[in-house]
Order: sequence, then C-alpha cells, then structure tokens
Amino acid sequence: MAIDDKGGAREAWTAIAGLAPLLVFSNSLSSGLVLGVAFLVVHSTAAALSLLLPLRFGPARVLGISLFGAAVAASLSATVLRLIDPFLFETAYSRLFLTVCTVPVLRACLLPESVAERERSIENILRGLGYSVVVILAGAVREFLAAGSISVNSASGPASASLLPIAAQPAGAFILIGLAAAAFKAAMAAAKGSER
Amino acid sequence: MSNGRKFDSSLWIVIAGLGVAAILAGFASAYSSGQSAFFLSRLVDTTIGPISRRSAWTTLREGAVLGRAVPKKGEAAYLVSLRLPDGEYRAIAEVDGDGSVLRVHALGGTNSLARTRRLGALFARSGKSGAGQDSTPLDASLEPIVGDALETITRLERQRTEGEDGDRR
Repeated sequence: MAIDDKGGAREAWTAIAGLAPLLVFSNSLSSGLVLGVAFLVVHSTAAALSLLLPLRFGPARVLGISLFGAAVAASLSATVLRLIDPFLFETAYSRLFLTVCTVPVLRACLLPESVAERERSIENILRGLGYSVVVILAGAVREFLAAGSISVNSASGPASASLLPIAAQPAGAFILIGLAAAAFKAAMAAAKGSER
Repeated sequence: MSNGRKFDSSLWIVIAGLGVAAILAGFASAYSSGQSAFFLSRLVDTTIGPISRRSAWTTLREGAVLGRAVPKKGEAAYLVSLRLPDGEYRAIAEVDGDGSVLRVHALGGTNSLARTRRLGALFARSGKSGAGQDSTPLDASLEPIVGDALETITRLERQRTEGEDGDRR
C-alpha cells in the first residue's frame, strides 16, 4: 500500500470497522478462530459467487444469489462446528450467521462493475483472508489482556493473573479498535515524516 | 428492457444449484444435531454415572439451560451454561421431581477469570449438597444469574413432570 494512498488506508479501516460485530464477539482465541474461519468461508463463497456469475444476471440477482450462497456457507460452517465442539457451537452459532451481514461480505456480494475490477476480484478473496486473521488476532490479544494467557481449549485452565479484565468485554473491543486506529494513524504520520 | 427481465436457462441452473445446496445444508444440520445430542447425553451420563443411565437428550436453549438429559430410571439432569460478557461457566444440575437442584457437577469455564470462577462456585453451592457461605464483592452481580438459571431449571422440570403426569392420565 502506498504511504500517500489515503483512500486505500481509509477503505481498509472502513472494512475493519465493518467487522466490529465480529471483533466484539471475538473475546478469546477459540471464539476468534470460530468466527475467523466462518468469516473466511462465508466471504470466500460470496466473493467467488459474485465473480463467477455471468454479468448478464445483473447486480440485483448477483447480490441475492451471493447472499443466499453466503448464508448456506454460514450454515455449513455452523454444522461443522457442531460436529467438532457442540459446546462451542451453542456459544457461537447465532454469531456465525452474523458474518453474512458484515460490511466486507456485503461488499463481496456486489457484482464487479468493470472488467478491470472483475480481474482484481481474486484480491477480494485474499482480503477476506486478511480480515479473518484480524478477527483471530483480536480474539487472541483480548484473551491475553484479560486472562494473562492464551489457550485454544475452551475449558478453563489453572487460575492466571488477569491483566485487564475489561479487554474480554464488549467495551474492550471498541477500546482496542480505537487504540489500533490511533497507532496506525501515528505510524502512517511517522512514515510520511521520515519520507520528507 | 424486456430482454433484461427474461429468465435464461443458466439462471435456473444456478437457482436449482442453490436449492440443492440449501437442502444438503439442511440434511447436514440435522445429522450434526443428532451427533451433538448423542455427545451431550453421553457427557451427562459419564459425568453423573453410571454410564448405563443412557438418558435421552432434549435441546431446550432456555436462558442458561442448554438442554435436558432424562434417563429411563433416575433423576433428570440439566446442562447449564451460565454466560457472562467475558466468558461462560458450564455445569450439570441433577434435579428431583419438583425441580429442586440436588447436585451440581462442574464442567468448567471458558476462561480462568475471577468472575467466571466465582460464578461456578455460587452455582455449585446452589444444590442441596452444596456447602459454603463465604461471600465476595462479585456476588451481588453474579447471584441474579445463578437465581435465573435455578428458576428456569425448576420451571422446565415442573413442566416436564406435569406433562408426564398428564400423559399417564
């Protein structure tokens, strides 16, 4: 990403803000993994459908078909999770369907407007991978800040010193998003300053 | 304009494909539901023991109660997941016919935070065999969660036993 490319950076932050519902629910590594992987499946399905469907279907039909496909993908993700860990499914199943309503997935469902944009659609699928990594990392960081340790196992381990319990609560997610945005802006400003 | 509104064959193929995918997703969901019921009833049976309980599982999802395992002989047990904004605590509560909690079997929490652990301790002593009267500053915010869960268990068990009595008549 070019340093002076303000539009690109803003677009990336808009997309991450659109992930806020998932970032709020991702308060541990296990929930982050569940939401991140489900998001990747749903986003990839939506992006692939909007890319593969013929242009003659028109934007409205492509949006409808891609959204339906994304919902089926979310259902399959929930099914797989239920087979792997029924407890985790009971905790997360309603949140899995939230992935369909996030801004990045809705954007992926839109028909690419030009041929150039269509050729760049593979980037959209890769972007989904980046967003899912953000969701997983948010879960890991919040669990570490809250409990002082990270574990994939959803059952509790020995008592550990809690550093910042609020990090695991919804308010903690918004505080972390704000801090990350401020740090990113400061880093961009510092990089610009060093270029001059 | 009218050409754009015409349905071409490829659109029908896509719609049919999505329909098939939705039906397959439905079957897969039903299968996973059965597997999940088997897993949870087995979990309750092995935790309470003996394994020969062979209880039948019913998913309820009412408040903190995830479901109920009813053996052919013996007391019913409720699988409870007490949720907090930053985690949850899971336990199995054995109940008698009028819905009073007899024993609590802890399954653990999703994290080791003090609030989750305290919630587990409060729920564990809600059973008739539970002991301990210690209190902490966290209790005021956690006791309503435990109280709600116990009320839900009592209501569900009374509904079940009343339903069984009605069937016998």
